[in-house]
Formats: sequence, C-alpha cells, structure tokens
Amino acid sequence: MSRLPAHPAQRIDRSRPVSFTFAGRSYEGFAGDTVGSALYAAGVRVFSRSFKYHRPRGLLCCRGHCPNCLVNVDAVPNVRACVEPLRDGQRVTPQHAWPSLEHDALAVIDRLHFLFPVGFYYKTFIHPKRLWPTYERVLRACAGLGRITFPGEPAGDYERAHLFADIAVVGGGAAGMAAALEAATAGLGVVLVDDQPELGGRWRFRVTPAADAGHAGDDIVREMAAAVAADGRIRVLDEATAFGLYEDGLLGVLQRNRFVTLRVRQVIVATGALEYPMVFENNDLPGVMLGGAAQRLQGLYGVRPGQGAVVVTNDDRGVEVALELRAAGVVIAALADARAGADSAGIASLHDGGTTIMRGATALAARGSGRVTSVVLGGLDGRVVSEMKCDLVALATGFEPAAGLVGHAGGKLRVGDGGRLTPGALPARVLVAGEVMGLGELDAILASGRLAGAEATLALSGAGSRLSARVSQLRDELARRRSHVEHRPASIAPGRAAKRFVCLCEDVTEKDCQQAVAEGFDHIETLKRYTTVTMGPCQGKMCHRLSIDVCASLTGRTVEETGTTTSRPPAQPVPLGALAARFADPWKLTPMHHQHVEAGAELMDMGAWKRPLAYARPSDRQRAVDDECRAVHEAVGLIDVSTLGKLEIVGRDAAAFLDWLHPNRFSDLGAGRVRYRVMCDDAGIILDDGVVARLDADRFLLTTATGTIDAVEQWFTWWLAGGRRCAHVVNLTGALAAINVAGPRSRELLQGLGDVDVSASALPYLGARTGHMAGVPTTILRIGFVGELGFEIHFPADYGEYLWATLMAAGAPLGVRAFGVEAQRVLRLEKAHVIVAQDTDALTTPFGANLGALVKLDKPDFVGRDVLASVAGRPLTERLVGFELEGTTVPAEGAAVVDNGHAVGRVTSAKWSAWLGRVIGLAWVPVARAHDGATFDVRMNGTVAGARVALRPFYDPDGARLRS
Amino acid sequence: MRTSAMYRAQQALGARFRDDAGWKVADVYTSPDDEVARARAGVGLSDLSACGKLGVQGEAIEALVTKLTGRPAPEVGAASRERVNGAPLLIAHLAADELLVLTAPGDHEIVADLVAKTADTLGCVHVTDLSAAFAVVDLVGSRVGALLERLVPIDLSALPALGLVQAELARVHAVILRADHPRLPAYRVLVPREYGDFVWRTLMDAGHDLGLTPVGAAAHARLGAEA
Ligand code: FES
Ligand code: FES
Repeated sequence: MSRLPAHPAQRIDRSRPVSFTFAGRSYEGFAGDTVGSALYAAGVRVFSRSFKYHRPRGLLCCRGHCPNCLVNVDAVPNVRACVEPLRDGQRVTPQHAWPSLEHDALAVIDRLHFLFPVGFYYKTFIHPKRLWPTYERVLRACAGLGRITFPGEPAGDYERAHLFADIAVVGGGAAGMAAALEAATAGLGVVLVDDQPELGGRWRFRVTPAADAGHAGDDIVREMAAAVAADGRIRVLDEATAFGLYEDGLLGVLQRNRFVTLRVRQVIVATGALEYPMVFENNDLPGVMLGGAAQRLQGLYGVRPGQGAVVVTNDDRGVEVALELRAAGVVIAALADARAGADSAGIASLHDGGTTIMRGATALAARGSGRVTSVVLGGLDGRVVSEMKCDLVALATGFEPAAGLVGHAGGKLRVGDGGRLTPGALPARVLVAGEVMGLGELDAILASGRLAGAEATLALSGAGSRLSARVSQLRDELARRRSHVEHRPASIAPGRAAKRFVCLCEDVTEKDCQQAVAEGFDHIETLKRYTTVTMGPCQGKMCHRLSIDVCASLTGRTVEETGTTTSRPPAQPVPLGALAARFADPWKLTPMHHQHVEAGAELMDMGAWKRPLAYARPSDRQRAVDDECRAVHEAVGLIDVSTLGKLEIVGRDAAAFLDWLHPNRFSDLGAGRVRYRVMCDDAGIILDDGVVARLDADRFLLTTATGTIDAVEQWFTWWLAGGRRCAHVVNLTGALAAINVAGPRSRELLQGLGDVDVSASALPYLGARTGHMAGVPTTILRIGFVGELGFEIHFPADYGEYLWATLMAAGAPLGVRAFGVEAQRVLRLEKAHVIVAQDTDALTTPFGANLGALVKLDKPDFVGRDVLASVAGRPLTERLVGFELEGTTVPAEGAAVVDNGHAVGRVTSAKWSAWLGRVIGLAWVPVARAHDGATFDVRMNGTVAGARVALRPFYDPDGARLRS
Repeated sequence: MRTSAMYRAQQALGARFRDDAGWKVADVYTSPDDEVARARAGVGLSDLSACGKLGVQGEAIEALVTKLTGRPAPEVGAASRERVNGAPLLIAHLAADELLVLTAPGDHEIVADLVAKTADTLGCVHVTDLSAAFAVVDLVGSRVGALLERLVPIDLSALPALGLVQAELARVHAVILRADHPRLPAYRVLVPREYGDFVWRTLMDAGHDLGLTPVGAAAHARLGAEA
C-alpha cells in the first residue's frame, strides 16, 4: 500500500474498508476512494489496453477525461475507474484484452504496427469485394471498446429529470461558485453543475497551503463552497457532467445514473482548463501522468503517485506540481523546464532539496516494459542530455480552455498570445468565467466569476442603473486583476520514433499524421476524419491541441492558419441507457388486457398496444389459431378490437366534411347506417380505411386501422383548421372499448342480452343501433371483417372487463371462444379483405386495390379528386389479386411473384387456412395475370411454388353468411 | 361495474374498493391515517378516473360557461372551480375552442344533461362524454415537485394555482392541472385511458425513493378537507 498520512483535503475514510474485485482478484480500498485510486494504492498500474495496438495503459488524468482507465463495472462497460466511486462488492473487469490484461494476445499488433498504417482499413478491406462479409465479421470481433449488455443481463439503471432555472453555471471551481453566488444574490435561480463530488475545482486537492495573490486560496474556496451550500437559490448538481449545450439554453447533464435535461436562460461556462499530455516517444507508458492527476491521487485519496518522479513542464504549474509531490514524499529526481531562463523561489527550493533542474529541456522518451522505469531528457533541439530513473513522469506542459460547451452553442476558439487558445466572440446567452478564459490567478478568476454572474443577471433583469454600475465595477476589477499568464504550449518534443502518440484514444501517432498529410489530408478537419484523431472516447480532450500543433508543424502553417476542429455534443460519452432512461416505452392496454393475459394469450406489440396474437403458448399457436377460426365459422368468437381508431365527427357540416375527405359519399348515408370508407391523400393514394356509422343527423362514428388513428386525426384536424365548417373531431380511441362478435351463433348470443333488437330485420347488414347491452350503453354496428355474421360493439371503456366477462359467460353454452389477431388475419384473408398499408403501399390508388367502385367522381370535389379523375380511365399495370398456393408452406410477406425467373410482383399477405385446407394470400401481379385461374410462381427459400389466381373471396364469395 | 385503467394495478397493491356511482373505487390501501401521513411526507397518488368528464368544443364555449355559471370562462390554460345546481365543477379551458368539464362521479349525468341542453341553445358548440377517455390521477404531497421534474420536460414550478398545461408525462401526452390541496401542493393529471396502467406503474416506480404511496379515496378526501 502506498497511502500517505491523513490530510484534511483527503476524501477517504480509513475507518471504512471497502472490498471489491478486479480481474477476478480481491482488493481493498476505503470509503471515499474511486475504483482507480484504490487499485493504484494497491499497486495496479495497468488499467486497460489501447484501442488499436493493445498497448498497456495506466492512469493519465485521474479526472475522467482520458481513455486510459476504461473498465467494466458490474456489467456496465466503459466506466472510468478514476472517477467511479468505490463500493463494497463491486466487480471490476478489464475490457479489450484477452486472455488477460497483463498478457493480451492482440498485443502482437503493437509489434506488427508497420502493417497497420493510417488508412489501412479503408485501403485493405475493399479487395476483393466478395470477402467484405468475412472481413466485417473478423473486424467486428476485434473492434469496439467494451461489451454491451443485452436484455436480461444486469446493466445500469438510469433515471431522468427535467430541471429549469434562470442560470446554469457549469463548473464548481472558484469562478463558477463566484458566478453562482453573484447571480443568486440578485434573486435569480441558479443550477450549479459540477463534475466532482465536492465544489472547489483544483483548489480542493492541494496538500501544501496555496498562496494566491497573498490569500490562502483553498480557504477562500472552502468558504465559498459553504456559502453556496447555504444559499437556497442555488441548486448544486454534483458529480454531474454537462455534456451538451443545445438550442434555447438546453443543457444535457449526466449526474451519476441520472440523465438531466436542464433548461435555462443564461449559461455561464466556468469549466476551467483541460490538461493534456505531450508528444514524445512512448508517451503512453503507464507512469506517464498529468501533473493534476498526480496531485489528485495524493491530495484526495492519500495515494502516493510514485516513489521517484521527473516533472516535465514549461511554466510555473510544473514547479507547483513538483513541490506538491515532494511534500508528499515523492523524490523529485529532475525538473525539466522548457523555459531557458526559468527561475523562481520554487525552483530554488527544489534545487536545494536535491532535484536536478534542467532548463531549456524536455522529455524525449519514456522507457520501461509495461510501466515507466526511466525517462530520457534532452534539449529542445533533440540532443539527449541524460536518462533519469523514475517510476513517475509528471507532465505539466499543456492546458487549453475546456470550452466544448461554448463550441456547441456556435462559439469558436481563437489563437491568442503565444499560441494559446481562448474563446472568441461568445454566442447568445453564453458567458465564460475563470480558467476557461485563460486566467490563472485566483483574484482574477474570482473577479471573472462575479462579472459573469452580474452580466447574466443584467441580461435577464433588464438594464437597471444599479446592475449596470455593478457590471462596470466588476469589469474594471477584472481588468485590474487580470495578469498575463506565462504559458507557451509545448506539445511536441523533438524526435522521430514510431510510438509518439498524438491521440491515445485512437492510437494515432505522429507518424500516422505525417502520412495522412502526405496523402493530402492536410486540413485539420480532413486530418481528423482520415486519422480519427479527436474522435475517440475522450472527444479530443487529450489530443485536440496536440493534433493542431502536429498538423501545423507538418504543414508549415501557424496554429492560427491551421485552425481548430469543431466541438460537438456530447463533450463526454453518455451511456445510451441514460438517454433512454427508464420511461422510454409507454405501452397502451385495452380494458380487457388483463383478462386476455389470464386466459393465456400470447401477446404481440402493435405500435404501443399489446394485443392477443392467439390464446395459447407460442408452441401451440397454430393449433390454437385453427381452433379459434373453427369456432368463428361454426359457433361464435369474440375478439377485442378496442385498438381500432375511433373518431366522433360532430356538427352541422360533419357530413359535408366527410364527403370532402373521402372519394365516396356520406351525406346520403341514413341515420343508423354504416358505410365502408377509404381515404386518399391529394395524390389519390390510399391513406386509411374503416367504416363510418351515422348515429344521428349531425353525429358520425368513424373507425380507422389501429396504426393510423394519429395520422388520420391529424389529417382531419388539419383540414378543419381555419375553415368555417361547423364540425368537430373527437378522438374516442381509448374512450370506447370494442368487441367484435362473429360467427353463425353471434345473434343468438346477443339477442336478449339487452334492449337492442339484433334480428336480421331490425338490424340488417350495415346497420347501426344504440342501446344497452347487459346494462352497458353501446353502439352496435352490423359489419364483419371475418366473413361470418358479425356485430361490432362499441361502449365506454370502463365497462370493458365487465362486458367481456358477461359475453364470455353468456356465450359458454354456445361454444364461444376468444380469438386473437392471428385468427382474425386468417379469417379476413379467406374473405380477401385488404389491410391498408400491408396489402397496399405508397403508390396504391383505390383502382389498383379493387376499390374503384368507391370513387364517386360525380361528387363536386374531394381530396384527391383531380388525380383520381385523371387515372380513372387509365389501364393498370398491376393489380392486387387473391391466390391459392400449392403445398403447405406459407410464403413470407414480401415474397417475390416470379415469371421466367424474374420478379414481376410480390405477395402482401399469406396464411394457412385450416378451414379451407390450403395456403391462401393476396399478391400484386401484372394485369395480364390478374384473371381467375391464371397461374404464377412464388419464390420461397430458394424454391418456387405454383399459385392460382382467385378474384373472388375464397370463402362465402357472395357474402351470404355475412349478410344473414 | 365500471373499472378504471389502473384498477388491476391497485388490486395488486391490496386496495379495498367501494362503489361510487357504478364505479369500483380504491378506498383504502393501508389505513387512511397512514396514507395521509405518507402523502404529507412524500407524495400521495390517487386514482380519480371515476370523475365525470365532458368535452366541449366550439366557438361558443365562452358563452356556454357564462350561461351555465353566470361567470366568465377561465383563461385559456387555466381552470376554475364552479358550482352548478349544487354540483361542484372544475372547468378547464384547454384551447380557445375547447373545454373539459370535470364533475364528481355522482353528479356527472345531471351536469352532462345540463351542459348538453345549454349547448343546444348556442349554435356550433358540441359536447362529448369523455368520462371513459381519460385516466385521472391526483398527485399530492410535499415532494410532488421532485417527482414531476423526473417525468415532465417542462417547468411546472411556474404554474399558478389552477393553471394547466398539456405536456408529456413519462412520454405520454397529459393535461396537468395545478390543483393544490389546502395544505399541500397537488397536481391533477389526465392521460389517455389506454396509458393509465403504464402511467400508474411508472409513477409508482419513479416516486419510490420519494416516499410515493397510493392513497385511497378515504385518505384523499381527508387531504382535500384539511385546513
Ligand atoms: S485516468 Fe481515468 S479518465 Fe483519465
Ligand atoms: S486522445 Fe481521445 S480522442 Fe484523441
């Protein structure tokens, strides 16, 4: 164990040990640890294998920003160990390595790297073309990071929340807290989003007292955190990453397992600076670590990051890192400072403590097998000066603004003094504060935070003299306190070795970039797309600046000329489970749903509805369907058709409105009568079908297919909007339950159950009556979709359970049976009834679907009339026909109709009818074949079967049973 | 007997039912005292689907309200509590030409008759009985805001008393009405009946850690009456 003595900054509770496993071995850490800190304390240095070369990788940033510590935690893939809180019993497994993390078979790729230059994928796997499926299979097996979980496997459990506030402050460091407090003081509601468990930013993990412009910075920050916690107008989302800023002030935030959408009027981005590594040989060896990572390990978790360290830097931050490490007992072998004239009290103190100070120097290469054992240091001209033994190389070389959210809103980075990037002109409703602006001193950072808070307040509260004065006062203060930070990015060490990584996520080396530029991808955006640099799991946090510098140096352009890549959401990977959260799939149930389940129904999804497919287990489905069909043909069956779309059209102009929307006529439909309806769009294409029942002069009940109700309702409402018709549309789909009672004994079942006379004379075919059935108010339509005498009963859904149970009980002596969707589909096919959108498509007019008789061109006008009139006389090229197939194999829907080996049509529906003893179906065939007795072939599973056309229904072709 | 879309879910929670104007209404789950206490500390979830619901559409709806109540209709996006022939009504103004009138289960028929007769005198205004069209729940309790912010993507905190919005709740289209109880914040939520089972189970799940508890009619009446 390499734990340091206790320190107030530490988060761990040493009195509470926590046990967990990693790669099958047991480990112990403390409450407050992360998985990464506990493993590091236990001596683990290799956490993952790299994406392409399978090189060992260790902790680099300790901030959740890089790809190096991705592991699987309790079946959730791609979890960052360095920020994942440690929990008892956690099962942590490495990913992307086989058979083990230490001995990964695919690490051989690292040795064969010369076979896999940049772009090899695009160049290699296109020849020969026919091998692509094989390539694809092999590549898929090797590629990707982590293994997703499948339904039934344990996985993350995500929640969702929707929050609203006046202002969102992203970043809980000094600047963010100052901004939040300023805005809250003015009475605005603030949500402060911070990705750490505690507020304070980088001041949280100092182990040596910080002296910022004469203040104890950590004390100030601690006091501010207490003030934030005490302010009721500030809501803090801790451990929360704002991963995207979208239109109208919408922030996507992932807080632990909670996906939060946060809608605000102003956003203050106080996300600080991103620390990134530098390019030198073997810069990815475990043990090469960012300075902030080393500080976090020791400051927050009491873990000594190494025994002997070399610190590489180009500004005073490196000196601070070295002093902090030394305070924790790490021997600082050398400080390599790129500044030739670097000098400060800190440097003197390090020198006095025995550290070798190398000015104008940098790291040229890291050495070691699987972890760092030494580092080669040399001049900026590449001259080797010495090789120092160490187990830690701490880099404090590169910082860039964490301005991803500014980029999402359309802001750009601009190149400032010394090549530093800072946010340029800010997009509307976005403000910045703190280190993201390039500030370094605490006083300036605090002033910028207060200013952003005041500016946001001013923007929201409107100009007022007091507020305006406050803003200008804070502007002056910031201008006074802003000091020039001496920081020159030094991202590329001299050298030519092969393994100088620019992008750790995607294993892109400097050589890869060189080759890409040589091949013509010399623009930063094309370089990005060709090499995939900045496109890995860290989304460029580690390589954005490096790729710009490398591109600039390879093309001989300046950083300004090179430009930057575009930042797009998400700034941090978001699990798909979080986006889906747990309320993703609402379901709809009919009132009788639970009775179907109790009767053993196999359910199917029809849109959001759950419907009984058949009343049997799947293994017994065919037998059940045959029995259900027989019950309908011989006795009586009940089917729950509550899912049918139902609209009430009411008003003085309701009939005229229906006439306008349909090719057929409804104004002449008598009260108490039902008529088939088919509806077309302006192009004469069938949109939907169903029936219309006229209940009284001004009131119609209209049904639609289950899946089309929303579109139909919208269509009706759209045509009503703005007009002066006295007609209204009410969607009654859920309000009315519906049961279809079908079969020769259906009348027997219903007669006497209520006050509606259902005799053939009182309620003839296509009649409609209202009345009571078993005491329930009902509308009964005398229609049939399944070819037998039938009644469709519509009634208030709250009576659903009661009426279904009543009908089943009353029908028991008659042999009643519930039937499901599958039996209904067989029965309707026996009658050759068309299902719109299954048997028709986006080109079908009523003429092609044998519904031409419904088109009343003598009507004055209706939607689609012009087109229908123009196609009315034209010869058709294909027609929908019924067919009988030889054999018992049922072709799939969509199976090809073939003629001399060529596809000339398609099957739209096909079923086995046990009642008829043959396979029947509907198909689109060339008109030349669309006559009774014509034959054609249907292709199924590589063979063909002969089919014979039947233009009339297969069952009861004259409809005598239906009309009885 | 009429049963709401949440009837089976309530049965599974051990509800005891009573009859109310032909409906089976969940009356008690544990005990009224316990349910009231839990709702106060967390969130109480009650099924009010048995209430009468009338949809009124047309350009003359303002005139209809005035004729019925003697007072102007509430603003669009707001509701008002009225009393007609002794029957308490909640009139929700959903859109310029659309109203929803909610009544107690026992008052529905009388009110429906009265509204229809009044509408007949006013030209193009139409009344539809929507009693079976919606599942209705009341969410009441100190933590109701925290529950709804998990489920509703718009800011409900800005909704005034008897203000209403149409928004998604757990991805289901809902009418959400701020209808506070005397001492507790409350929202009345109407969703299409076919989503009732889903919404009930989703609320139970989402409110689990907020102390959400099903509240029967007995406890609900007490919460509504407490001063
Ligand atoms: S070390 Fe964990 S993300 Fe960088
Ligand atoms: S290092 Fe992560 S995308 Fe390049």
